[in-house]
Amino acid sequence: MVFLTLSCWTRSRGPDRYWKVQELLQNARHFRGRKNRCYKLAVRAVRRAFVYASKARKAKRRNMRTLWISRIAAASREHGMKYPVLMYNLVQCSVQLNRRVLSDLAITEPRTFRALATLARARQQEGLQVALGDGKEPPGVFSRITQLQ
Amino acid sequence: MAALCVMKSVRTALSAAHCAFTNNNSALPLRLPSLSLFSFTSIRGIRQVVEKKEGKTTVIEGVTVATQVGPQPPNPTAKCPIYRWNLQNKYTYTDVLLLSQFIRSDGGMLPRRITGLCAEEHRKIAVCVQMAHRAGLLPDHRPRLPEGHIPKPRPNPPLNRYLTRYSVKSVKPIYRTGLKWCKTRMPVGHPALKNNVRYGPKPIYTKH
Amino acid sequence: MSSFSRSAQQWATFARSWYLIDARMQPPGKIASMCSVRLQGKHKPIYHALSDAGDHVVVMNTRHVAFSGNKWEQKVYSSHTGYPGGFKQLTAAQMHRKDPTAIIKLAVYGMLPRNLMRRTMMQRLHIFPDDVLPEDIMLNLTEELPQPRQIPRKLSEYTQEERDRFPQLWTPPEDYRMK
Repeated sequence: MVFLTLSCWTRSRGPDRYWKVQELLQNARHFRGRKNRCYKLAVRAVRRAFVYASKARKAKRRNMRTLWISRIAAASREHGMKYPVLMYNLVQCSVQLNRRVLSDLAITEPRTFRALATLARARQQEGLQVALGDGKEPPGVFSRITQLQ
Repeated sequence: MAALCVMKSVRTALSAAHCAFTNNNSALPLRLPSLSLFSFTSIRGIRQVVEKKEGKTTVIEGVTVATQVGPQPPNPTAKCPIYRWNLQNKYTYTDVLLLSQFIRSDGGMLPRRITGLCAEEHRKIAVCVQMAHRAGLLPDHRPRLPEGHIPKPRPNPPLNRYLTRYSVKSVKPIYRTGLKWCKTRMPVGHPALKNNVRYGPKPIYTKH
Repeated sequence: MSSFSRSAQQWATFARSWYLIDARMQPPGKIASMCSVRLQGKHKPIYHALSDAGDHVVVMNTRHVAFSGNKWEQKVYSSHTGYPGGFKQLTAAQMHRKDPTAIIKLAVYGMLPRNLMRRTMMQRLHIFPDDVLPEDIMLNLTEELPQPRQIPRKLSEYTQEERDRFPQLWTPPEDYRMK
């Protein structure tokens, strides 16, 4: 084989199997023990690692959501409200903040979160009064005009 | 025998009570210090036996205390006092002011023919009274000990409890709870009170 | 904002506070759930399972806890010493007489997550059988938590006025002698 030009050389730089092995070993370089240099061991470990990674991509979403929920629950307990009550009444008020933003607000902007909690509390009181009393909600409230449900 | 004599004398005193009460109104304030034998005072309109000692003579008389006029019941036609006041399913073992109206001074229930309770409510009140006793909410309504009897000092102080359904001595420990889907549960409260009014979304949970 | 003024905020955010719970006439499970939330730090918006943001909890008067039902007699605490025939079973009453703090401690221990942080969190739980607290703990306390169960009043604790104000539900017949 004659490499007259650089492009011809790059087109055939050795057997494919070598490069396949190297590519896989690159994924296993940080593993512990012989797994990071012996192909036979590395191939199993890498396969397993990729399976874990696929599962973790789904689990991460779930775990993050539970973390946000527990943080919002803690913050809403500080304002004397339970988590489901807060979320339900915020939805009723058409507050379209997701749980990630709410938990960020609870940590970095506690006063904003307190305002949201007050809003939810007011909505809850209105709902209670409706349930107990005349069956009419106060007219002209912005939150009810743009209600989604 | 002595008790019989006392009862006889009490009966005679009761028959003579009205005249004694009418012409001797000043006996009322003196009633309070002399409560050795029949030591029960109540604000209810009932007849009480009062013992007075003046020198050697002991006078036992039955005095009727005037009934206080309180608020009127919302449903005066009903026979049962609980229904008369619309209190069905609205009382529990903590309402000692209500329960104490239906018990004797030794803590037992007053008979139903006297109180006029219907059978169902009588049973519920009996259950509540029992739980209140076990929770220690009626400390003064205990059976009277015989004269000069000093109770033994207990090795351990009594344990705090509430909603206790069975008597303390009758219950045995559950050493084997059983499998997860058919566990032996510990009953809390009484099923007679399961229709009580609740002010929350949670149901009453009687099997722990 | 400069980092200099932020440092105080940082300290204040991650400082551990000390809570006091009075367990007199309270059910141990409710006390334990309050404790486990505080010990894990789940009452703070900055909660994370790995950040170790839990607080200290002081429980006093555990000698006077109240079980509902007949649990003093029925509830059984089991343990095994590891030796043959070493399976021990104690009822709640026996356990309480042996060690007045054991019931609360076991209840909290069972409510904490089963991970390596569990023992560390248990070290931040301080249980006292009576209302006598050591001086150094008294100085640390920041807040007393409200009791989860409202203690019902005894009949002897009602004043005469309150008894008189309660309506008389029934009037006994004229000739009935009250025992």
